[in-house]
Amino acid sequence: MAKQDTGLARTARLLDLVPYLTTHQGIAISELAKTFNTTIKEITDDLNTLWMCGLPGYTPLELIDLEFESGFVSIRNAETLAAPRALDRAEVLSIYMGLDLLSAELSNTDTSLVNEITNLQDQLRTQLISAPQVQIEASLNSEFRALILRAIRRRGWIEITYHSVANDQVSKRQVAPYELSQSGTHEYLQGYCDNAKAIRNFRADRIVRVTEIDDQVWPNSPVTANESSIKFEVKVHSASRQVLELLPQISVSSKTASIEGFSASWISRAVLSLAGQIEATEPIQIRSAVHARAKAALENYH
Amino acid sequence: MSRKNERLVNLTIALLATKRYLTKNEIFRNIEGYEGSAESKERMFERDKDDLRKLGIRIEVGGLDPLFDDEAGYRIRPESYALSLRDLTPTQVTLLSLAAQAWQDAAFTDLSQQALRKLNSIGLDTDSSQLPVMAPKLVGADENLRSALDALTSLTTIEFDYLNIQGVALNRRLQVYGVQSRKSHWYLIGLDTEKDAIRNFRLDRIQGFVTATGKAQSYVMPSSFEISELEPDIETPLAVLQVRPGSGYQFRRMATTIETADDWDLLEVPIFDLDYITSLVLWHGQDVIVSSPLTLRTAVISALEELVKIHG
Repeated sequence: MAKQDTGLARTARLLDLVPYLTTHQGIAISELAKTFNTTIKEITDDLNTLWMCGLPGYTPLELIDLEFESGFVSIRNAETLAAPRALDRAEVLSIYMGLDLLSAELSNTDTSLVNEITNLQDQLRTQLISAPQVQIEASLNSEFRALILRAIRRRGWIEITYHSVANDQVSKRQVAPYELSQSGTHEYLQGYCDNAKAIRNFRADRIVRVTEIDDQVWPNSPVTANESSIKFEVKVHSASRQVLELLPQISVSSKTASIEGFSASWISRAVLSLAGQIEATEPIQIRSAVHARAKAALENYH
Repeated sequence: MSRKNERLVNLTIALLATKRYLTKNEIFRNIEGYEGSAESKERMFERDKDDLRKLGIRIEVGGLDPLFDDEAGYRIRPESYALSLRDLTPTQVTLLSLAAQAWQDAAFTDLSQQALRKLNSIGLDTDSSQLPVMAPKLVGADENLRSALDALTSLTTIEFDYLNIQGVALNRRLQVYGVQSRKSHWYLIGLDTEKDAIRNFRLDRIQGFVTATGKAQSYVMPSSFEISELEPDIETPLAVLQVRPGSGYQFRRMATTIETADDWDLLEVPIFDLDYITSLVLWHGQDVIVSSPLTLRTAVISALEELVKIHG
């Protein structure tokens, strides 16, 4: 669905206001403006327009009857438009996909809810021209996300089970969460990690479990430095897609590059995984660590 | 502008309220806002019909009785105008609302909010007592995903530049059949019309914008296509890996079988993508040994030899 031009968006809003008001009699104009994502002036204009609309004849008997001088809106005589408009195809598909996500997450715990979801999806599917194939998995489980958001709001602590790919370890960390934010294609949880006694960024999709824990003292002003990074230099032998995605500092035309890595372990593993497409040149400690790690792995095969 | 909006609302009300088809003359005579010459009324009405259709409102044309020399008439069926999810329970309304709320990225907020307002207008309380506390979110739903979903609902072919494995962006044309969100990435799946084969494309590897090419409903989705066919099945080859206890967590998550032992655990892992498995084995250094297949074992050994050579 192409974006509606502003005139049509206004018509859509007028039509959608009627059913909303019908089920929200007495709503404040300010709240209505917020719900419809617009200003009080625009909404008041809308109400003034609707007030002139109705069935042919257009006497008070046929016109929509609106009362909003008090700042609170009530509506009468609007039965023809009182049913909410059908969802358009884009809305149907987005809800259909959202349901797929919920269904995947509830499948282990609650089969009756999963059945309800399947039933809703069946109804929605009939409203699309062709049944799309979707398979939706959240990067961070919705229940865990709810726990994290609640902890952020109330400044509470959580314990996360976290999979560190750099160390190939799964461990439990006690965290005072600050925020969930997106960077590139990934989402990160930033918080004060009590185990590291420092602020840490955790990739949201590597959080295996979240539990709320008894409140500890909220870290007042955690001035501790962020995770340190290590600078290293590489020679690029092949700027393949895999190289560009793992090390975004490298561009297609790079012959050499200077890169910040998260830890010595992450750097060695990253260079190894690229199978010689890049070569670690400096510092010498990193270069020899890569050499030693590759050599040790190779000995497994002798 | 406001006059026009008023007329469009009045037209909608009249066409919804009527039990029979209204002729153009009846519309011009009775609905407020149609003014001017016969010709300009015609033009106005044609534009109004287009506008309502753009809003997804279906105007039915009919009333042509073959026995009489009737004019065409127009109406909107209330059952096609209104939200048609029937007999919703409060729990179902909650599920639908949660599903709509999962779309929080900028490219989808207008869509998600409009859907939520419609659901809220049903006038049913929500009931989340039967649901666990959930805050669903679909991360990384950008403008390109929106374009791809629009193409999927209208069956319009799309094109885009896609970064291939060598890191070169090439133009691709796709008839979208489905979408998948897996391991933090969005994938578009469908028929690559130039390769004439089913392919999947990772959304973040698309360079620039997805654009529609050609008309809506320009293809038909094959009924035989099932996204689940992209899941592991008996045909997917397996790698046998020796993994040091307490390590190789990523392999353990995808393993189909795990046999534990003192020195090395034995894992069977499906090989969807040989290059991916090769680099994951390399990532784990001396903690993972490939037993079979030979292709994977050879690829890992020669990569390690190369690494030792260039870093020596």
